Amino acid sequence: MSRTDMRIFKYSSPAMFFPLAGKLLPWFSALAVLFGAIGLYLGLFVAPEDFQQGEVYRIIFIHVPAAWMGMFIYLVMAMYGVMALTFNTRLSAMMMEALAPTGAIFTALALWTGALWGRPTWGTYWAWDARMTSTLILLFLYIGYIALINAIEDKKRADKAGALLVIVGSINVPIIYFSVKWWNTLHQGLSVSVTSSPKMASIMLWGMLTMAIACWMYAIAVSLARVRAIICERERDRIPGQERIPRRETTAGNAVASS
Amino acid sequence: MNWAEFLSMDGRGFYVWGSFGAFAIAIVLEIIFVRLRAKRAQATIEDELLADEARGRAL
Repeated sequence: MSRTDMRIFKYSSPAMFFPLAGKLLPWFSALAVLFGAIGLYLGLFVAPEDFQQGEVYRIIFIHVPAAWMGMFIYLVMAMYGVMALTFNTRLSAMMMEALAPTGAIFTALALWTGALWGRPTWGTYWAWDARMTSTLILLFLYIGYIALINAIEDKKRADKAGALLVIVGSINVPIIYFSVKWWNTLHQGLSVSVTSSPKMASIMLWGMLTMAIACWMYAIAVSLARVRAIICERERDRIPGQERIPRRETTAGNAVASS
Repeated sequence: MNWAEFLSMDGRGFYVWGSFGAFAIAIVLEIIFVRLRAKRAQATIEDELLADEARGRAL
């Protein structure tokens, strides 16, 4: 059955990635918990209070990692978008779909924590300054992408349209990043050093970087879990044996053997 | 350092814990939704396989 062979060939990539993602998932989850625990300990208990802002600056330990992840996940999605459009790889489009909700959540958290930090330090929850407005646009781009791919019935067309939207929208990421340099913003500049004492600055920096690594690990773990669900949804009958569903193992085994 | 002092965060506890709390809630909800989605997808596959078997189709 040549048609069956073709289908197996076409789906081989996601089907092979499925068990690999399952194996990697617990490791990234464990690393996320580990780094998260260390980061929270450093940020909430070890790092001293800031000499200007007092205790409220501790929001930095989640605000900055969330904002970084929001931007970075979008760039990763754009890279997958380029791959999806040029090589027509199905897994790339699935990875985009898997990453989008996590990126949207991190962006929303960056805006939320930023508002709660802005109120006591600047006296306002929100201002239409370049950094905040461009970050809000990033959130809309994520939501737009998710809405777009769900609005188009044909998955192939949905993937293409989504990839295109994300690639075009990626121009927004450097705008967010450099906004504090290019324009006079209420938001503070790129420097993370908030204190005169280098020792204090370094422990704050380490706490923030540890939290950033934790967010990275979390984003990878949750995206792997989501892409597994997406592979299940899209390529139902072509997934090779999986530990939790013994029935499928035999069925898929037959399919592979018959090819 | 006592706990009351720690929780009050210089009287800015609302902002600090409002941030950390939202972060925690978002992550917990995301994990729950991803798990539900994976379970639903797997259940659909199982149902389809059982239906195939019932019809006596060899995939």
